[in-house]
Amino acid sequence: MATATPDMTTVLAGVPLSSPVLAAAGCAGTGPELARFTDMSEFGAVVTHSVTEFGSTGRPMPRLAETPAGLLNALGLPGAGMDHFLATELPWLLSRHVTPIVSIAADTVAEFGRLAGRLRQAPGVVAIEVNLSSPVHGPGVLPFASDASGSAAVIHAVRRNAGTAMPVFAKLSGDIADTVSVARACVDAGATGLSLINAVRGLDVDLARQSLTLGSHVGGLSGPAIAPIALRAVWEVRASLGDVPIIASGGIWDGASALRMIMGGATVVAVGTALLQDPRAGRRVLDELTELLTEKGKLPAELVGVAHA
Amino acid sequence: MKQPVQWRAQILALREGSGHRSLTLSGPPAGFSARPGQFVALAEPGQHPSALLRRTGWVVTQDDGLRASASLDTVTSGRDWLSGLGRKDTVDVIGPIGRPFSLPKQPTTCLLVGSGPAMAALIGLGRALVARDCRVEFIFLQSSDAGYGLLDARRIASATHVIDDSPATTDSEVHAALSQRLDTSTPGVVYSAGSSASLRLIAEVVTSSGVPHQCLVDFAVGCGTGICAGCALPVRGNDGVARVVRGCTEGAVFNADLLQWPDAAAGLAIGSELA
Ligand SMILES: Cc1cc2nc3c(=O)[nH]c(=O)nc-3n(C[C@H](O)[C@H](O)[C@H](O)COP(=O)(O)O)c2cc1C
Ligand code: FES
Repeated sequence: MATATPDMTTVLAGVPLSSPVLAAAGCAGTGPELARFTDMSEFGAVVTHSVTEFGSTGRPMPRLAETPAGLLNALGLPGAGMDHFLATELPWLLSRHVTPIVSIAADTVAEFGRLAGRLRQAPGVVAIEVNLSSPVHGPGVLPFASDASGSAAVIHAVRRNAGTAMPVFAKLSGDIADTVSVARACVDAGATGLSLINAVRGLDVDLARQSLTLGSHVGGLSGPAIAPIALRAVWEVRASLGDVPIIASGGIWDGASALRMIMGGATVVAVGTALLQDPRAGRRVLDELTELLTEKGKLPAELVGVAHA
Repeated sequence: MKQPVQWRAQILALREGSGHRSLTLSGPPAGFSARPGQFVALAEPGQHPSALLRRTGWVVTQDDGLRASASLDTVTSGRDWLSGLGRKDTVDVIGPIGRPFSLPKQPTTCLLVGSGPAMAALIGLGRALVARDCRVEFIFLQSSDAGYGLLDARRIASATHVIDDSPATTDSEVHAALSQRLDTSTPGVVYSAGSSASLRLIAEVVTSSGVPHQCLVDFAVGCGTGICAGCALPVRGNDGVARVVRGCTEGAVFNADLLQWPDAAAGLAIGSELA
């Protein structure tokens, strides 16, 4: 007997989404690039690249290195800044019926506050993701997420400027020793939920050149290599903070890795590096996840956190 | 048809060379049309690839006369999973990508100079130029006679030269040999392809001669689709302002006068593609 396909619509922090499969920050370009290959509105939401106040060209080349089962990137958040984002990128996303979650990044608490203020009245923005895990002007600068009180100060400033109605997600890196205490500090400071995890710091050596591969040396490791680290972070936060909304990213490559995150406690999953390798990966992950849920006869929300039982 | 397109191709033929592989791929969809200088981005197909980035494949020829059997001959750097591929294996292909070379409006002498797998793009270009009644001369900057494309070039070109580019030679020797060739051939246009180090050397010689020069920067692609910004290259716009642009979607062909060599990247304005 054919089983009915489950309803994939999902609610994230009160926001209705068409599915629990998102595009992770920075992995959908500015929109038009990915749209040449896939219908962007098929993502439950698209998390934008981290928008900074005045923009940046990014870090020196080489910026990418392939490692076994992972990708190291040291891009340095290239982008044209908040003015350009609001004037050009956001209207484009909305014109294509994309649900945008806007990621912001800054070097100071005050800048984070100003960026959040700009988004308060921006049309169509359903949530803000606060990138606490990549310093804008690194390397050498430690990201906010490595410290609970620094993270709390940022989230506090974002919450005050974004207003009480705007869902705010704190994005943490997979590197921090005590994910739970930073996550708790963020929630106490006004975060609606967590986004777990950003890329994990790593290094590569180019054998032929006998030097470090990446132009700015240390990069962020993403892809299947970090999936168990991401799952651990999601699981720990769920175990300690209960049913706080979680956007999970880290090595999601197929329906199974997406479902693992959901069972570990994620409300939704975000596909990142997989989109670089295959611009249609988002659709594939969604189809495979739908198939797995069909087999189990469950809705996505019914499986969130079941691995904790 | 909207380009670029993505398709699953089978490897119909495969040729090994020093540091590269030449693949003939099945099935560019009807309407697929690559112009000289454009490339395809190749990826390992399937759910669990061992290589997480795509690979640049420079397009040599495209037989678009016959439906599904239309073939595409590409050359890649031949690392990791690509080197393990055999006939009948499948690859995921996206293309064509990037801006092509612009061809001269009138027949003229064209000097095509470069090195490495990106010479594939110059072979395709050479064919197009000959079809337009241009006189085509090739210069290969390489250390042996085994580099990609030498045989093809000899079939196409009026003349083919090799300038020794081995570690035993100095930049000024290569410089002098290139200058001499430029003086003898008196080209109306120069096209080059290769790594940024060899392009820089070529550009130094050509710029001082005042001959128009388009160059194709051979780079390792990340996503190949413009989403990752892993292929940043500094260029000067027509407005004189230096910007960082994406090599994959805004290149890989540039007006050589506008290319800022990579170490000049710091502190530039943001490019239209990144913006
Ligand atoms: C090319 C690239 C660009 C990224 N840009 C951003 C960004 O702008 N902001 C951010 O918070 N995370 C960024 N990330 C991190 C991803 O959003 C994601 O959290 C991380 O890569 C783990 O997921 P994955 O393994 O599926 O890629 C980027 C990752 C990659 C690979
Ligand atoms: S290779 Fe990813 S943007 Fe060019």
